[in-house]
Amino acid sequence: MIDDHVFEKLKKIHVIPSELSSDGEFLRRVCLDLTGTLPPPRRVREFLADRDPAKREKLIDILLETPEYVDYWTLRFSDLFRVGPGTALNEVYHYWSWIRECIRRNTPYDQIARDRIAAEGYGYGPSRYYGAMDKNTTMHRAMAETVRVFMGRRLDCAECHNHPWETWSQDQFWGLAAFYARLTTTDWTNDRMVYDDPEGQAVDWGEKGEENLEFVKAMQPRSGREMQPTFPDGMVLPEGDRGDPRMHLAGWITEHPNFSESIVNRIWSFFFGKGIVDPVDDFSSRNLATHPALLRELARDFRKNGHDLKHLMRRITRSRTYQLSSIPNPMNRTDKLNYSHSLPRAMKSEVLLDAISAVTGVAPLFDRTSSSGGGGIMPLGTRAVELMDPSRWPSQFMEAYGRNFRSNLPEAQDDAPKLAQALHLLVGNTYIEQLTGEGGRIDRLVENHSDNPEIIEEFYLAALARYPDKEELDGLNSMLKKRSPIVAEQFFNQNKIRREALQDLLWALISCREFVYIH
Amino acid sequence: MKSTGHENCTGGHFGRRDFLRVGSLSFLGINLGQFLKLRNVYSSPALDKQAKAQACILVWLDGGASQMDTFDPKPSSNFRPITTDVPGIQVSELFPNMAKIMNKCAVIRSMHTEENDHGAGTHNVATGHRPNPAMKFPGLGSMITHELGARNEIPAHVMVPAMPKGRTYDEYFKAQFLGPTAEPLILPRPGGVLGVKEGEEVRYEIPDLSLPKSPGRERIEDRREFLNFVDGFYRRKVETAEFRQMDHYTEQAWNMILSPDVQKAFDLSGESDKTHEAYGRDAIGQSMLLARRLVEHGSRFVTAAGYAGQAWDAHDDGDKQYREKLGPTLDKSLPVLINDLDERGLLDSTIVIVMGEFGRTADINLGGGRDHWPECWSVLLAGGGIRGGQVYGASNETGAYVSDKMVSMGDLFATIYKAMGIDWTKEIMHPVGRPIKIANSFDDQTGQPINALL
Repeated sequence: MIDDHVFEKLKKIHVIPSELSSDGEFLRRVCLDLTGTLPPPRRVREFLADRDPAKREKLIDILLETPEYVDYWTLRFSDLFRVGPGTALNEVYHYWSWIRECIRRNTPYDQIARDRIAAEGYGYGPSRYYGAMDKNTTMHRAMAETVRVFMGRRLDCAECHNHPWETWSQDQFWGLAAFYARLTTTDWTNDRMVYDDPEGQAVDWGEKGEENLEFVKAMQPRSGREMQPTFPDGMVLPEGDRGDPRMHLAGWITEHPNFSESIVNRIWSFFFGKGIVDPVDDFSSRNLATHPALLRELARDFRKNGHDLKHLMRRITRSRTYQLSSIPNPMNRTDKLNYSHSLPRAMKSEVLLDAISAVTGVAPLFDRTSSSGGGGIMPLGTRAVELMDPSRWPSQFMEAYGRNFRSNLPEAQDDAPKLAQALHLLVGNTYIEQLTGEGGRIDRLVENHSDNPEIIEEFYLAALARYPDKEELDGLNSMLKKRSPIVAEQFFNQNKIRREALQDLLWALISCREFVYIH
Repeated sequence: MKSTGHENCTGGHFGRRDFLRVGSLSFLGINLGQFLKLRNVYSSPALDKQAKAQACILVWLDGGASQMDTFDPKPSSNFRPITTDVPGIQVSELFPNMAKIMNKCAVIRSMHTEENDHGAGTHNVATGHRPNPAMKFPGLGSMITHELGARNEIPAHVMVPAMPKGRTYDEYFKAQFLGPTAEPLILPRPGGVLGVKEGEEVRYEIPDLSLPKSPGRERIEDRREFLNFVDGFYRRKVETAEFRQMDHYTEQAWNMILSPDVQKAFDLSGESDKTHEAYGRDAIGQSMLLARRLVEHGSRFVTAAGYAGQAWDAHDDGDKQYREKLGPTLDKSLPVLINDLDERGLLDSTIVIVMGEFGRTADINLGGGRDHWPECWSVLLAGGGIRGGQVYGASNETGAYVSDKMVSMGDLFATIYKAMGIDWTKEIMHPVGRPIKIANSFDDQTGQPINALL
C-alpha cells in the first residue's frame, strides 16, 4: 500500500528510487527506529549470516515485542504528552507509568486519547497533565494543545480572532474551550485533584478567584458572550451531558478523520524524519500533504485495525519505501520530499547517549545529588531513554545535543548540529569518561588477547552494524601500528599506549556521521 | 496598501504578490538571479566606506518595557520626569544615572510594530519580519554576522545567555538558512532551567572550552586523523548540508579550544572586582560585562539577555516592580556599559541597542500593571556613529500612539546596517524561492535609514 503510492509518484516525476538497503543498514535503522538501541555485534553477525528471505519481517516482529520497544516509545509519548514540567516527582511517576503501561499493552490509540483528554483524579496518571497546568490558562490552552496533539491542527490563532485562512472561527475556539469550563484543580495536601465540577463553578482558584471565574465561563473575548460547550459543527452539548463534558469532546475528537490522520502522520515522521504533512502539528489548507492519498489510506487502515500502533509501525517498517538505501543515485540526490532514498536523521540525544555507552560498554551515571530540587542517583546501567523526565538530570551531553524540556510540544525540537556538540565531542566529559571507564569494550577485547584486526572488526560491528571494508581494515590497522609500533607481543595487553590508540579509534567511530545519524 | 482582516494574527502571513512580481519578470527574458544582480547594480545606495560601527550589543529587555516609565516619560506614568544632561530631553526619575549620559544616547520614541504576544513580538523585532508558518527568517545578529563576517577567531555572534523563555525564542535570533558561520553561539543560562537563585553567583561560560590533560592536544589531533579516515568512506557515498555544518563546527571548536585569545575573551575573572561591582554581579550586569569583553576581543554581535524570563512583563504591580527592580538594575548596569565602552575607545565602533519585544499600554490595568503594546514604544541607541543627545519621533500625550515620524523595525535595521556599512536595500534569496529584505518595513517595503541619527 505504502509502496504503491510512493513509487507511483516517483515514476510520475521521473525520479528513480535508490536500491534496497543492505542488511546491515536495514538492521541498524530498524533497531534504532523501533527500539532506540543499536544491535549488538552478535546480533549483527547472526543477521548478516542469516539466509532466510523473511528475516527482515521476522526481525520486525521480534523488535516490536522487546522491552526496549516499551522504553523507547514511552519516551516518545512522554515528550508528546509533556510528562514533567511543573509537577512533583511522584506526579511525574504516575503520568509516566500510565504511558508506559499503555505502550506495554499496546492500548488502542483512541483509548489512550480518550483517557488523556477526559482524565480525572490525582493518582490516575493522565490527570497529571492537567495537574501541571497554570490555573489561569488551563481551559483554552489545554483545549488548543489537545487539538494540536490529537488532530494536528493549530487552533491557537482563533483564540483572539477568526482564523485568517482556516475555517476556524473565534466562536468555534471558545465553544471548544467551554468543554473545559468545569475543569477544576484543587490543592489537597499538595495533591492536585483534577475533576469536572458538577456545579460548573470552579472552586479554590486562589486569591484572584473572581477574575478567573470569567475565564471559567468561556467568554468569547470579542463578542463578550459566554460560550456553551459547542462542537465545531455548531452542535451544542445537551444540558444533560454536561456532567462530564470532556468525555464527549474526547468522543468527538477520536472520531474525527484528523485524529487518525494526525497520529499516523506523526508516527510516520519518526520513521522518515518528517511527516507526510510537515510540520506534523499543522494540518491546514496552506500546508498540504505530499502524499494525500497515502495518508488517507494509512489512516483508514489504522482505524480499521483498532488504532493499533504496532500494526502501523509494522506496516511502515515492512515497506520497501522504508527499507530503501540512504545512498542516493544521481537522479534522486536532491530529492527530499518523495522518499526516493532514506534521508539521514539525527538521533535523539537520549538515544545517541545510549548508543555511545552501548559501543564503549561504559554506562554514564545519572546523578543529581548536587542539583537543587532534591538528589538521587539512578542505578548504574540505567539508559537515558529509561528516564521519566531526562531534563531533570544534569548532563552536558544532553544539553549540547538538545534535550526536550517538554514545555512545548516536541515539534519545536531542533536537531541541527551545534558548536556545543563539537566542543563536547572534542573535550567533553562524556567522551572522556565513556572511553576510559574500566571494564568497557576496549578492556574486554584487550584482555581477550584480540589482535588489532579483530578489534577493528568488533568496533565496526558495534558502532556501524557492518563489517569494515578491506580498505578500512588495512588503513586503520596500519594507523594503529604507527601509534604503538614498538610493543612486544607479550606485553601489549598491559600497554597504555595501545589502549590509548584504541580509545582514539573508538572515539572516531562514535563521532563519525555514519554513527551519529540514523540512515 | 495594507493587507486586510488579520492584523493581529500570531501566525503571520505572506503575500501572493511577491511570487507574481518576480514571476512576471520572466517575459523580459531574465531569471530571478539575474534580476537580483541587476537590482544590486542599479539600486545600491552609496555606502559609507568609512562606516564607524564594527560591532553591536543588544541589551534585551525580556517581556517588553514600558515606554512611559523609562525613556518617554508621560503623565500616564506615576514616575516623575527628570531633566538630563541634554536640555529638552527628559527621562523617567527611575534613571538618574542614564540622565547623566543622554548626550551619548539617542531615543526613538516612535517605534511601531504589529505583534502583540511575546512569541510573535520577539520574532518581529529579532528578525524584522512577522512570523510566517512557511518561512524562517534570520535574526538581525545573524544577518550582520553574515554580511560582515568574523573579525578574528573569537565567535562573531554570541548570545549571553540563551533567551530566558526557551528554545523557541532562541530560534528567532538564529541564522536559519544563512548557515553555520552566522549562527549565534548560545551560552547556557546559569542555573539551568530553574535559574540562579537570588544572591548566588552568576557565571556565564562556554562548557567544554578548555583542553583537558588527557586526551591532550596531540591525541585529539590523532583522533581527528582517525575520524577523517573513518568518516571519509561514508561521506563519499552520502553527503548532506548538516554533515558539512558539523565539519565547520568541529573546525571552529578545535580552533577555539586551542586559542588563548578565545579562552581569555570568555573569562570574566580577567575583569577587576571594581568592574564587576560597577556592572553589577546580577545576571543582567554580568551579561553586559561579558558582552563588552567579547566585543573588545572581536565579536560582531552580542546579545546581553541576562534579565529573567518576562522580567519586564509587568502586568501586575508595575510601579512596584519598576521602582524596586527594573529601574534600578537597568540604571545601574547600562550607563556603566556605555561609559566603559567609551573609556576604552570602543563606543565609536559599537552600537548599543536597548529594547524588548514591544512596549506597554498607556492605561494601567486592574492589577496595577501595563499590558502588551506594539503600537508605539521606545528604543534606546548609543554609539557606533549614532549621534547622541537626541530624540527621534514622538508619541502622543498618553504615549499610546505615534504622533510623529513612525519608525518600523525595517527602518531601525536599515539605520544599524547603514552605520555598519551594510547595504540595507539588499534582498537575499530564501530557500523557499522568495527573496527577502534584510531591512523589512511595513507592507513589504524596504526600511529606510534614519539619517538624522547618523
